Amino acid sequence: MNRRKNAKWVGGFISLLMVTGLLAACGGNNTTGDNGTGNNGSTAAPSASAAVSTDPTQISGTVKVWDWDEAFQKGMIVEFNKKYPNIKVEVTVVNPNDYLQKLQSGIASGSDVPDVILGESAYRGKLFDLDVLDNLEAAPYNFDKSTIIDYVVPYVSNSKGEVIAVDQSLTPAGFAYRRDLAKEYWGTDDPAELEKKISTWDDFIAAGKELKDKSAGKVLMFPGLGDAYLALKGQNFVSYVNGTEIDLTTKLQKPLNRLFEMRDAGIIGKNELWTPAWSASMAKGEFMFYPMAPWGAKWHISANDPDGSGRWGLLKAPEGGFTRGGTAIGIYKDSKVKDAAWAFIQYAYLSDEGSAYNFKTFGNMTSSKSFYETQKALIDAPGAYDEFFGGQNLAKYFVENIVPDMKGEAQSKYDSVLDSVFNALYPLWMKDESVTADSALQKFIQETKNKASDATVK
Amino acid sequence: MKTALMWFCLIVISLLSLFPFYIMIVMGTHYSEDLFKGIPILPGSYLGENLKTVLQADFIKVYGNSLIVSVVSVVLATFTSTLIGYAVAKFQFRGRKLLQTFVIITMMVPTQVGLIGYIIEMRHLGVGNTLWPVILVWAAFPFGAFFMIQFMRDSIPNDLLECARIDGCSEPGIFVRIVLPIMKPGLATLATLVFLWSWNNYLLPLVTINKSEWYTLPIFISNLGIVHRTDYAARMTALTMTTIPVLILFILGSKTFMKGLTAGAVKG
Repeated sequence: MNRRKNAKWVGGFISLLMVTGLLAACGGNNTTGDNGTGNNGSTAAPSASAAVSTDPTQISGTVKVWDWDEAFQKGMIVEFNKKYPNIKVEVTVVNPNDYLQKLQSGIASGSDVPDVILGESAYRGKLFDLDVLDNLEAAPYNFDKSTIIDYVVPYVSNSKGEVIAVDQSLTPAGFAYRRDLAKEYWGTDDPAELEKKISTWDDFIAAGKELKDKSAGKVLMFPGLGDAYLALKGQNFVSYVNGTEIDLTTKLQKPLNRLFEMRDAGIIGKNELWTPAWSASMAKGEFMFYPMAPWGAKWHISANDPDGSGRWGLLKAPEGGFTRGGTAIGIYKDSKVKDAAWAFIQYAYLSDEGSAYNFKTFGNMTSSKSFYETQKALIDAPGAYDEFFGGQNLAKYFVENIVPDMKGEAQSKYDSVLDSVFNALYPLWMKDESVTADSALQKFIQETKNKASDATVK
Repeated sequence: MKTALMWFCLIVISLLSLFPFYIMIVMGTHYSEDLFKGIPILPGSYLGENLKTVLQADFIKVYGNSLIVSVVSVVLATFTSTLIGYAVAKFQFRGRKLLQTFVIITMMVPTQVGLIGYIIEMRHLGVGNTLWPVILVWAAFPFGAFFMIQFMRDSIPNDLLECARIDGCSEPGIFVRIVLPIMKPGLATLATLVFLWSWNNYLLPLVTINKSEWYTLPIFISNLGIVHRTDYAARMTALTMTTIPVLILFILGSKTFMKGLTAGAVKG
């Protein structure tokens, strides 16, 4: 009797151990592949900071920052302390996927909240809507928004039109393309000539058909609908939210029509963004274009195609630029060390000296206008990934060819809703040819209604 | 024949359970982006780099934090749960039923609901931003109390306690000399569960700890390689380093646990 009982216990315990092992293996938190955390940009003419004491050594305090990019902060803080020796900057590493939850519970419970708050593009609209960031145009900051590149202003403003953040980096996007494939099928790999070839989306579709025919269907334009949508939606800069009214038709009809036109022309692959097959396609040479912002050269293209040095190029998307990723930096409105926090933000993201360090070390491009006038030589100098892109000067190309015709887009808490609806719907659009642009838009509106029940959607 | 079949089944099941472990270990030796090209079967050559990524990020300190949290949690949770279980299962007193119902009700409240309140409580206790909030949550552990109540009821005969009382054993003596030895299997189970749950706890440390130096392993791992790209390989290396020692500890400890299983049996 006892022996049987014991055997049962032993068995039970062993199974518990097994479960133990399995559970332990699940310990890590999953994160999606895309931390489109762009780069940093900054803006700030020294004159804009009238309220900040003119003598940097007079400002003191401990500034708390939550950031995911520890390497950036570690490097930048050392530089910062050379000028501001009495300000201590404390960094806590926080995963962007958890950032908002952690911030909200911190605010709700009255416990620790950072003085400097980061808003990654995926949740930036939601963060702005929380109303926890201070208006930087008011005292003590008195920030002058005319000192930053114009198209950036809507990306750092709340719905009242107040500037409540600065951008970590410009994140204009163009297309990374395979030089070897362009040369083989279109006879040239020169960005200027290719830009002419695809200067409108009609040309783009025609070129795609040519590519498909010449390669016998082996090479297509984009790996999937998700990539094309990034560019198409990104270029449609219209504001679509008015209070709780969401006007999806204005925002999405045009991009969706184009998207389905391309799908029906058969020039887009069937890969979903960030899937293994999608990542692997970069090295395989199955697709010509990948939307890319400045941070993409290192983290996206060269990471997935490590042996591809020299076979990539960068050009402007048909009909203009769009943004991809990007992080807003703001100050908590109940911060006790506003002066010190502003001094840090100004130095790291706006000042010419901080921006120069930022650009040289991390490739981040400030949004401050003055930097591009005073530090032109830095932009012209070769960058770390220029060789990888066939000797093209990437920073210069972004600044001179893509940034000038960029426009801004107001941020909204519904932006992330739209993203999640799109991500849920588009895999089906690739598989089911019977879905049309109109039926897709109707479905999109329906799903958005379900997810944003407080809003009127049309 | 029967034994052969049993062995066969055991081997197949073991392989199935161990395969994910193997893959985890192997993935930790590759370059992150290569993982997407297919499931790696053979070890790669990138272990050194991944180790560097993990160790650069203060892994040892975080490991220590997790160990402290889990060990103290286990001690606290088993201590309070056993006392509550003994009291409710074996003593008659006013409010006993109420206490038991209360335990069951608190078990039904999801952690997330009480989270903000809990953080506020911890802040007022003056232990915000330390390891205490992550540990103290186990001091009042409704599942543990419930488990112990049920376990005591089923496995400790009242006659045994009566005998001890008649023989003149003091009440604390009864608890320590008679109840605890019988409870060893239950304690081992509860300890294992609490250890694992606190070891793997993500939400609570995420919202209560705001200093990198006090992070626990799950938070640490989810913060590894998150800039612009996700370094899955480095995370796998860290996971391996997190999982394997604990697993070994449990396998070694299982002998002690099993002794506990046979030691406390009631004669007859």
